[in-house]
Amino acid sequence: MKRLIFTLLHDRGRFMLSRNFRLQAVGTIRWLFENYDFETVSRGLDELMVLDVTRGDRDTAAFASAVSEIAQRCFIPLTAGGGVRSVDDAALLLRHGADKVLVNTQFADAPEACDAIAGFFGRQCLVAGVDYVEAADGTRVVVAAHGQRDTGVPLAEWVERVVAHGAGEVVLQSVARDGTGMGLDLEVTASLGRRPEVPLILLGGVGRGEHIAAGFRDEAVDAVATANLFNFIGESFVTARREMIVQGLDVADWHAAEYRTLKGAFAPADGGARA
Amino acid sequence: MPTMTETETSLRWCSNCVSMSTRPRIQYDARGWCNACVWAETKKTLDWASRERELHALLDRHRGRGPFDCVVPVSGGKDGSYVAHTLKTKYGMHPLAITVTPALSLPLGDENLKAFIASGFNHLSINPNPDAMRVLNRTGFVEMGFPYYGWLIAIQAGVLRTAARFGIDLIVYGEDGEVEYGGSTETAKNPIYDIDYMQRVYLEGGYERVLEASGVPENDQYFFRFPTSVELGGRSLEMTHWSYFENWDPYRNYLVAKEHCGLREADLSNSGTFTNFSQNDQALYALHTYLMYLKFGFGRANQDACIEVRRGAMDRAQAVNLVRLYDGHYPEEYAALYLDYYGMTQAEFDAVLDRYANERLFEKRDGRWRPRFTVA
Amino acid sequence: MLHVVVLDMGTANIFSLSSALRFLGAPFVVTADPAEVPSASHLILPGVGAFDPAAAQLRDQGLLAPLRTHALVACKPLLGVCLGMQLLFEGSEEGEREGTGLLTGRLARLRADGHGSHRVPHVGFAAVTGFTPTGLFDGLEDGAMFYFTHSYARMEAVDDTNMARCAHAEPFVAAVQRGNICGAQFHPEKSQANGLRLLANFLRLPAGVAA
Repeated sequence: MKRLIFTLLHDRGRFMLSRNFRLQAVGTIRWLFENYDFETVSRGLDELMVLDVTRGDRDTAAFASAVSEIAQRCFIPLTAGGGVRSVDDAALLLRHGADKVLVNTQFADAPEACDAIAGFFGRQCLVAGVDYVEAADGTRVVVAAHGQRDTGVPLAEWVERVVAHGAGEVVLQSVARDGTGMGLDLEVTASLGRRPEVPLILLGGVGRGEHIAAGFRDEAVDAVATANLFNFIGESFVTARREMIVQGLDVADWHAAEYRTLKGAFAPADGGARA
Repeated sequence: MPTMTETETSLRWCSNCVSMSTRPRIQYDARGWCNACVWAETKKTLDWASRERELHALLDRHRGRGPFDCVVPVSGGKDGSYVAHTLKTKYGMHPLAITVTPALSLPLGDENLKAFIASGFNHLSINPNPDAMRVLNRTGFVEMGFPYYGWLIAIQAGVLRTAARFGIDLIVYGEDGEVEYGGSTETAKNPIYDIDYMQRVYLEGGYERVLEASGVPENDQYFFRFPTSVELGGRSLEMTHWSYFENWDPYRNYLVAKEHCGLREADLSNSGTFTNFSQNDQALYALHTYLMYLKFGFGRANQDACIEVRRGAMDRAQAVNLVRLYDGHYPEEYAALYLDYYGMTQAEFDAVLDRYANERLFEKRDGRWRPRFTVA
Repeated sequence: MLHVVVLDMGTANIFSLSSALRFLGAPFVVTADPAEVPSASHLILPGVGAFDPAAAQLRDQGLLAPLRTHALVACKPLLGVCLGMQLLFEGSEEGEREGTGLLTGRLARLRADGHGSHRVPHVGFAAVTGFTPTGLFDGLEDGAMFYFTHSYARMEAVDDTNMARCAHAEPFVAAVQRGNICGAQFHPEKSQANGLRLLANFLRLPAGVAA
């Protein structure tokens, strides 16, 4: 089963569009809920990812709060990340509705902290975010810290490193394709040489449904993520998914109507939960 | 070649992008594709190698003639920067980049221009007397619904006049809007055009009339008038569009300008659209596209969405969503700036807008023009 | 009167289960206090992580007895989710401790087979089949997708139950109902409308249907 993951980029209360790692503010969480009815949108998705991409001083409380507001509207797995450095950072996000945490730069700065997160919560809880650029000779090289730091390490080697330090899944994000709508880097999995033992998620370049389908057709790709906040407003994920099912791609088929008949089905006459 | 049918009188949108039947000179083929989309399709299999040979021939004729062999009008934005950069680094030309400073320039635009120059270009900044510019802009706004008409004249006339002064005979503009975005196809096959074409198509023939009625003193009209035959001294200037010689791709231009010329984007979406990397140099652009919206029913978001669809970055359904969400935004954020610039009250300003609102397309409710149509 | 008690042993992500119950409009409390168990009409035992610490915690916090009373004496509906389902059994290959023994048998480690889709832990949506669509499984299609994240499972069939299977490298028990005792190896709170439906079915089980 291939997975489609909608990625939301958060920066101090606003949701962003990224183009080659440059951010454009799109709207607040109100904009998000006005344009993405998550009950409906969920039918087109398998998972959500919410990342704090603040370059400066993070507002961790605002981020955690945004994560819970989103998490309580969806009944699908949610990964949260951005600035996660420790077990405590991870725990905060997990308490706010995340099922998994994404760690990126800490794999460069303190991989033992990543081991600790995997050890405490289980490897399936830890997703490694790996961003890469293409050097002049075409080799893929990993960058960290919002793409500001060139690690000099080839992508394949980095993937082995993050897996060795506890990553249960790896997101491969192409900086060159990010936000361009030009489609995913479909050669990246082949460039890794040996197939890693953990699921691979491709991110960067999706503009429309066909780009997602192309990613799914790669046998080595387990999931496709998109952070394109403009292009999938409304029913686009649901439509794209229907199209992929028609094409015979290996994606789960979610039915819609159930949500509505179930909502509030057990509400007592006097009003609500006493949690 | 697909057959072109006459533009129908009822409202319709291209079946591939979202360009509207109200656009002047638009045509749809049997599939319902507009001429810009047909052109985008044609471009995929066009013999660009042959076009590049023509480019080489053209550039060879001019290269090395004097310290500067061509003029590239730039604003610091992606398109001019791309053309200048490519002429210099790929084709060994020695461009003189020329900017006509717009009225109400934006800080990001100023920074982008500085960054472009700093990336390694010889550059002239032309600043016609701002009073003259304002009179012409205001007249254009009121009489034609073109809020920066003075600037539009100057980036053609003033640039050509300066080129003539420097003894440069080749002026390379970026895109041919008529061809790329659906309009007349006169220049689709013929790369070099002249002053007459410029006046007719780009200045919509109102050029002389506006200058005469303006009351601007003759000396201050210098940069708004095309070079005289005396100034040309028997030479003829060759104007061309880069888009004839290479597949015009605004997004590619943006990526190159970003990488090589220091271009930066705005933090927020630009007024009336969902993009942030285009037209960041002047506040009047938002008014220009708003007037376009009132006149024709499509604005900046529609334009940007069509570009996205044609380059394969989104499909039509997505474009429709974004146009419905963002198109036709009244530029509130600049309103005070406009009123101050034009010396108008809000009521006077809105009265001008009212003149250009097409009442077949819009009705006024709660002080704003609301579309009677839905993009479909 | 519907009154759901969710046992919080500190390991599970209670947030999403709470969101799901809130969505369904069900009155619920989240508690680790054994004294609150008897008031439950329906009891949910979630759990994430390793078997032994959770099993130890059940005992140490005095939850084992009230839980067994709820399930075996009062015969009220009980749902174990993920590790919670595993705790319904007698034990696991993962650890040394005993489970609650409410269901007979033990758990084993999933086998990986080195291929893309058969890694351990098993994480992701997978099709669940072979059940009779009544009770806990009412209204669910054969092959309905649910979200799994686990390394251990019950491999062999469980007697006298309405059982749902999932195939990983080999088939395992995805969910099970024996009267009032229910287990879901997957996360219903993460399984779209299918999961909400299963939770709703659980909440509709009447108290007093003996095992």
